[in-house]
Amino acid sequence: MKKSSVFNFMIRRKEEDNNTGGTLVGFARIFEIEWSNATGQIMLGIGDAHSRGKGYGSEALRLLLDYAFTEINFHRLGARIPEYNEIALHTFEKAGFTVEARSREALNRYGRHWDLILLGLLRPEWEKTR
Amino acid sequence: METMNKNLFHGELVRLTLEDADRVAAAFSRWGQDMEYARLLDSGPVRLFSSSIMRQWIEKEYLGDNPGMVNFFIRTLADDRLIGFIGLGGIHWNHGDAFVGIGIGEREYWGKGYGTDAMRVLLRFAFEELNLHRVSLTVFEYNPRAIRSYEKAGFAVEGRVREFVHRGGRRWDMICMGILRREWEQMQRVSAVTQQEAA
Repeated sequence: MKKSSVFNFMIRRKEEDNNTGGTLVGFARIFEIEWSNATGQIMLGIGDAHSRGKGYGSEALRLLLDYAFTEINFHRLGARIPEYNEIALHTFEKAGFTVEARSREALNRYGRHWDLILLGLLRPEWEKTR
Repeated sequence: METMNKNLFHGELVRLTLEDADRVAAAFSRWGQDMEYARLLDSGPVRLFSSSIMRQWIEKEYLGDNPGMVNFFIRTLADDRLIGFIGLGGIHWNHGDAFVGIGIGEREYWGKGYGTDAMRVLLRFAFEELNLHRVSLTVFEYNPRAIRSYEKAGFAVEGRVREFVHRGGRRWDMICMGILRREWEQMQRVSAVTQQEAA
């Protein structure tokens, strides 16, 4: 019955001469937080197409996970990624996430059905990646 | 078409209803105080809600004007007893996907097929009337009775969200299940053939 907390961030590219005011390239958020279970969902996007494929998403994800596990003390973080988003799947799996479930044909796009893939990362697993 | 004449909201043991919050709030509040029911139902920390807070929530949220939800109550056919609720939420109309949630608040109706019957009625509504492509649900690993009921209704396990719930001093997985339209249709065909053979 209560609204849940959300942590919203923007992602800016660091400029070489200056730490502030870098180009805005995307967003990241932690949402659907259940405090008593110490779980949350993660989402991030590099909105500017020119900025993709440069490792910004991977680094933003790493920073977000550091913050989530060391500052907010989550036990697990989840993500939901459509099966057609191979780059995101690769980025999250590289960061330590495991595929936990497939919601079969949960999405209908581009004239066909796709699975929605559920991934999860537990705190002990994340600690091993550091 | 024969099914046009059937009452879409009647099963064999239960019927789905819609009624004023006033008529159901006291029961909802009482069910919420059954700790076992509360912990089987929801991953959030169990909380006590007064009858009037319940009534407001039922009126504004559960029965509210939200296109992403279709909610019902469950009454027994035999003696019209209010035993629980069932509904669809998180409906993504563009994808044809929705989540189902069910709770049988009156414990003496646990394990007797009432929940499964309500689920069958709800699925028929979801696939025949709302024309959804799939229905999803989540259930905690410590609720084996519900898992069996969902399997009987046609849901398949699709994975486990590991260590999602932290309760009673340990962590539990949340199990994801889903049923696709063609799987439900196949079940209807199989049961129609079985009925013909029996006749």
